[in-house]
Amino acid sequence: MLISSVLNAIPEHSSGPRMRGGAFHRYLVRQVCEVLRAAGFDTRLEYPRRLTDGRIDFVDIFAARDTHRLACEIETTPRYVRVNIAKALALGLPVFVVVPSRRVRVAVQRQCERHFAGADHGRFWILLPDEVAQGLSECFPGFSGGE
Amino acid sequence: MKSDDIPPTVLDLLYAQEHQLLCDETGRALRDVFDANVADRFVIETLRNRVRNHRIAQMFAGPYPQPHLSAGDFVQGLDLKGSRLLIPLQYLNAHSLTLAGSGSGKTIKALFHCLQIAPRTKGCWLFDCRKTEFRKLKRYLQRVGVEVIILPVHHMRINPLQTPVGVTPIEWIPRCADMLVMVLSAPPRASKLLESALHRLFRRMGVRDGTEAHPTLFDLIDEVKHDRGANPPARQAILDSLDPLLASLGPGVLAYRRGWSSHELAQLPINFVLGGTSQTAQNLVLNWLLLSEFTSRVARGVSNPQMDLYVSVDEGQRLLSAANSGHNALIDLWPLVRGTGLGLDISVPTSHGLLPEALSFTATKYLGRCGAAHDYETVGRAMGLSRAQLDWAFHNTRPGRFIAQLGEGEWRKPYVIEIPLLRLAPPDETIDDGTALLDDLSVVRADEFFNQPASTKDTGTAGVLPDGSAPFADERAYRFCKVVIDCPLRPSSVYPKLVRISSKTAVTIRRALVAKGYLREHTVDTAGRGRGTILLEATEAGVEAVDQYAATMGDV
Repeated sequence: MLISSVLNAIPEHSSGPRMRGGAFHRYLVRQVCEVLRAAGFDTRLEYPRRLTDGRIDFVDIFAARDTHRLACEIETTPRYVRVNIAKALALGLPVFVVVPSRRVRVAVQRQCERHFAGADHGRFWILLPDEVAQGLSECFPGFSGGE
Repeated sequence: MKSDDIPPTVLDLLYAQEHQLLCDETGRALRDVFDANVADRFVIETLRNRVRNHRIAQMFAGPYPQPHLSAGDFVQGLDLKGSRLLIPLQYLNAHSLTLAGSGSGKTIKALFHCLQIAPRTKGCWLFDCRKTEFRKLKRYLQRVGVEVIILPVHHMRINPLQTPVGVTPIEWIPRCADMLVMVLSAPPRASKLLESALHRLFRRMGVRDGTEAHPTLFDLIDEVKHDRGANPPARQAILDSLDPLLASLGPGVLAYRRGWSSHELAQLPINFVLGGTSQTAQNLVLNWLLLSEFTSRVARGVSNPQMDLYVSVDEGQRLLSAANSGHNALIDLWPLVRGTGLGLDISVPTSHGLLPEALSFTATKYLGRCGAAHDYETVGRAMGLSRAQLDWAFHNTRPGRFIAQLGEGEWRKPYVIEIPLLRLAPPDETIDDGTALLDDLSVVRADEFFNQPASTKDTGTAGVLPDGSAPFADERAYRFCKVVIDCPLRPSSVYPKLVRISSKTAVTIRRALVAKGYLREHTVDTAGRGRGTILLEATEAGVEAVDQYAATMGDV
């Protein structure tokens, strides 16, 4: 498993800061990780990514299983959503934006409609925590789920 | 006289008159010709054609007559053919009642009307009792220069005991006592107890001599608490109800010698967001605002001016509830307020438990799709609907379609209106709520209550800090906060078991701790419908308060 071996080569937290965000952010990260792991994904928190200007930034969760790979951003408010999604999209992976409530989802959707081109819209999903499993089937048609 | 004996032309004339077919220029000319008894064949034919055409149109329209509402500056809605129904805005300068079940378009109707009214009145109060729908109007009204203030209850600075503008304290005290009895669901005897307590407080503070500094609800609870000679059940009922209310809203909302007056607020467009606080707190705010403004307008003798304040109460059954109606101070003023420049629109989902006077005092009514025949019957009777009209309403009302009856103007027959479906964008959370506009309103704080615990029940000296303040109202609140620190981000329903208190008490404590800034609530929704889960997290202030309390109590 090439991807697993690559993932394992990156020591958790060693190349990035400790998991950022408040307790609620961390709580949601843990929830989403559990769902992804239950679906057989390897997860990596605060996955490092080199930006075009040379700086390193991080996506909240990077998940991989066989050829399926995706980035997850947890957004408890719509404040930084535009930057975070753009950053995750730059990885060239499907992006799950996980939000805690329908209210935040509406605000995030509105920002996305305003700032992202139509072509990008099919590359990210805005989901509530308990919609992540369903989102996996939509993102990866034919995905069986489970280990 | 049998109708067979009446000439057909006279019957046509009577029909035309009844259905207002002779109101235009030609119609008036026809009428003049008939009055002068010089009608020739042409005139008779013209009248007959009008009547015949109207009859045919009416057969297609169903049992409701086509309304003659084409002049005015306010679009009430559309008729069944999609034409606009226009009425003068001043027709709304009274009370109207909307009865329609859940999902029948009450809120959309209110939004549609408010969009037109808010730019043309000085003040506009939009009450969201449960949902937060009126907030959506903010961005749209902003485009026409109306800056709606989104005002949650916890940001208010009021004193419900404060005498409204133009009202004497003697006049206000009994009304205020009745309002508190209704809001607190206290027994009738409590009214007298409160009244005498208020008289004592007003006299002691010199309000009756003209001073502006009023007693607060915190003074009132102290007064009642120390009135040992008062009727014990009434006294205990007041203490039991008032204490959680004070804990829920706290001194930040209620401890003002002079708070915002309803008169000042009536000059502004405000969306009061009552959700997220206790039922009693919601009732207090809603009843106080309306009672205060009603009383002030009646006392000032305002009569038949242009409408300058429009009030829309979504899901406002609590205002018109038959429960405790003997102490509904608003109902007493209800008929007097009509024509004082205040337009009041209340929507309710059912006629069950509705105060009977509500139907009598609201001349303009809307009946939408209801869940039970009983609702159609009750309001239909009040609107004078015939059996055929009721049957039609029962089977043909749908979301956005209402049977309306106007309280003003010449057209008093019920008719059908449809409200266009508004697709308003969800509220923009990033837009400023505009509460800064309220900072200009002067208030006088009652500082002595700002350092007191949220609950005024005797807590002894336990947990009191060296500076005299107490971080927690009681030991249960401390335990609650400590458990949240130890087990953060659990659903709020888990904590009562961990703290070993009842769920009801836990809700009161939780709200008080959130209001004090000790706890933070996070909502996590599920994919299905319904309320989301509230997760609790302690703030730094909460952790600090627990440490301080524990140190004072020796529980380290």
